[in-house]
Amino acid sequence: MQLDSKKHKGIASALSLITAGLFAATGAQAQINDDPVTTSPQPASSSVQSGTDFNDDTYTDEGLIRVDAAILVYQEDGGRVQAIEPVVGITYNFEDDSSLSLKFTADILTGASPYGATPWQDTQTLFNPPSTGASGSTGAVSTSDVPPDVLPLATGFSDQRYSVDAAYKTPWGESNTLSVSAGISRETDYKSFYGNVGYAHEFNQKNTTLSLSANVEYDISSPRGGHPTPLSISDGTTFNLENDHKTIFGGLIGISQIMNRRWLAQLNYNVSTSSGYQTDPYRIISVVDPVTGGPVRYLNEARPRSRLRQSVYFGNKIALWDTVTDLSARVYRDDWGVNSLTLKLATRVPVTNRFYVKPGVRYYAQSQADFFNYYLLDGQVTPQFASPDARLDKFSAVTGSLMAGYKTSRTGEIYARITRYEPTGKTSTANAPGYLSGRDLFSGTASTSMIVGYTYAFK
Amino acid sequence: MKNETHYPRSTTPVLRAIALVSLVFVISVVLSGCSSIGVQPWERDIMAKRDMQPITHPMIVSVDDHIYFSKEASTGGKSASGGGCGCN
Amino acid sequence: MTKAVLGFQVWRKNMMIKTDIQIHAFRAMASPCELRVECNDPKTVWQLGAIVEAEAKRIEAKYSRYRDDSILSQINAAKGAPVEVDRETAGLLDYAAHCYALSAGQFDITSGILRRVWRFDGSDHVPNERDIERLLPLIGWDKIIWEAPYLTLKKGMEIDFGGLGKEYAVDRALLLVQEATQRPALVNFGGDLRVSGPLRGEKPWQITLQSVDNHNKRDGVLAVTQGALATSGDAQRFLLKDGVRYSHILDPRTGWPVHNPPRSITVSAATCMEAGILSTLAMLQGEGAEEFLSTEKLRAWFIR
Repeated sequence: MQLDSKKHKGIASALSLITAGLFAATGAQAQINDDPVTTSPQPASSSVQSGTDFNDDTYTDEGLIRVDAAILVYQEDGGRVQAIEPVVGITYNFEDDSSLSLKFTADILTGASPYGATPWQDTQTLFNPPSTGASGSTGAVSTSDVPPDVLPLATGFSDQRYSVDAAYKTPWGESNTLSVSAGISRETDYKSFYGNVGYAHEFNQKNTTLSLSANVEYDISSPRGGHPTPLSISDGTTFNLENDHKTIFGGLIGISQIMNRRWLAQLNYNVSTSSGYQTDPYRIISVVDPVTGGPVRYLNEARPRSRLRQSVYFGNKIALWDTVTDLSARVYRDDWGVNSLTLKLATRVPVTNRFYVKPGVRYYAQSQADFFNYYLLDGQVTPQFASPDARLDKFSAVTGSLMAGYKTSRTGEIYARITRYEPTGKTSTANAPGYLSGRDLFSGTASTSMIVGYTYAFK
Repeated sequence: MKNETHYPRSTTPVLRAIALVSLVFVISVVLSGCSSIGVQPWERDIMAKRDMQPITHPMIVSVDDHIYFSKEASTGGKSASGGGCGCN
Repeated sequence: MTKAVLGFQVWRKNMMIKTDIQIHAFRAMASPCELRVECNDPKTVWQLGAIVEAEAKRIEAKYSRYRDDSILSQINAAKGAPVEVDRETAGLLDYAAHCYALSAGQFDITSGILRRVWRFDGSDHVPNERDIERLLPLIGWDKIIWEAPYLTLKKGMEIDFGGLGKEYAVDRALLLVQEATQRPALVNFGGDLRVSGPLRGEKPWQITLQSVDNHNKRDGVLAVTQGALATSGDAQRFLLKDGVRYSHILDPRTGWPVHNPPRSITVSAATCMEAGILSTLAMLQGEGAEEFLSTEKLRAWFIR
């Protein structure tokens, strides 16, 4: 352990103060007898604490109860989605190194999100999904007029989501850890139930850890008004009032390895299959005239009912001087045709004994799903699947973040992080018909978010 | 759907490089029997620091996972399973 | 006046003082102890010596780990029950708590139980990791409940004033001597020493330090007019395995010796306790010992 040489620690001066205090209390003049004491004199705690350096803390949470609270405020550009998400968690760490944790999350969302239709030079009249808005009577159908020359957005959307997670972890034998977790998330039109079991084995003098885990998830989609038939015309009538659902099974295998005194590396392989309803029940796709690019009709989108996803993640923690750097890369592909690359870099830089900053940058690029399209052409055969959702588009995104943290006590920290996400669509529209030719049809949007949190542990 | 894979063009050589590095990493770890890489127990002072744990701020990881899940197609990475919400 | 100079080659202490000074020597705390006074009257020297010897033995009786009837042994035998301690012990516990906080956990009086697995006898018996892991849950000042006057140790934990006791005894003994006389005096318990002031005529005490190894015969002389000296070092206590020398400076947070410490560090400070703690903290920095001494602007000498 190296103390930082740039800052005068003041340990010697703090020590001389407390030594003076000790001998004042038990000074030569004082009678040394074995009477019990009622109070003991102490120097002002502020002068002692100034010497404490929290940057090299190695204490563990064993035996402590840790509480975490954080709130996220997320705002997309252009009046799109805004979210406020408070999270609170509590973890009981027992003396035998097992732990139980609970987490509560709320998500309050408002704002506007794209219909999926392409813009047009005239006003378009689009049917609202039945569950948009705070309360809607079943069967009532409403339309909205979207102005010309802008991406059609469904405004006035508002929803709340609540979720509870619980997790338990326990050591098993000398070098194994078992963990199990489960959670429930619900919002007005969606419920999700999920669980996970994990096993980790340390060997090679605890330099290497092998991790295995399996997870399952069962989601129920229940939009008010029901699910539209895939690729049916969007005319305010929907079929299939029953709920639909999807089931996900996933597995992870990973190795974590201490490479040298300053470098920890981790390699994970993750696979998951989902089967069931994976379409967005609110999204429509424009069928446009092949000459003018104007909308002819709108169809409800359709996605396949199965998806196989795989990813490989390589992450590193590197300590250099008194900084700690996170460097990671993830490669992902699925059988919808999406391939992506994620690169992340962040460095924690201590500024004073208690205060640090952590700037970070993230680069992301993904390819299009096979069935992604901004629009369909009238007259051509309707494909089996089609979606204009920006999440399935080809785009790249750069995120810049700056985090700062202040250690309020040995076990407590207050932190804040501000992030800016900027995506850039990469699908060429040079050959788009008429009005749409050369227009940027990418419907993803930049966003700014800030999270402020506090963590504290006590006995 | 089995169409041609749509790699973002600039990332194909990067993807290959990463796949190669990962492969080399895995092979070297496995072949060496893991015993030659690593540190002696008394050299774990830096690894013991709280800031060297893989997850230092679980709330931030949780929130980040949710944000990226709602904006991008990819999942997975440090831990299995994301989701839980209908935002994708 | 000597300035703080790092890299100045040091020599371990052995007392050889050149002026005419009377000595009262005895044995306590498993070390050769002495009081040196510049004084012509043997009776005064004997009286002062008796004060110093009594104080050394009193502190040893109270805080020795090796005595079943010491207050320390009673605390360690409490098996999880709270123990009410006296004012002096309370003061030392507060002191230890502050040192723990100042050093971010490196100075920890609960770490003594590591001696169960680490025996620095010059052999190659380095303990294995599991033995140490078993002890780690029983180490940590943060696991203790200290609310004056009650000290509660978790079952299986022990405290140990080894890092403080001798230095505290030196400071206390010297304070008692200063109460009794104005004459220049030096109290030295096993190499941790403190002077009351310069010798008559503002002359400094000449303190010769000896080398750690047998090979290096060079002696160095320090001129000391005030304050204390304390040394941390591995001269006699070490383990040697596969050519690696494990110092006896254990980091309580990991249970293992620190990485690459100097062989010996001698620190000068106003009191012996400060000198002792600072030399221990410096050793605990391992490779960063020199930097620590420099940052803290200490007068210190070390051997690498």
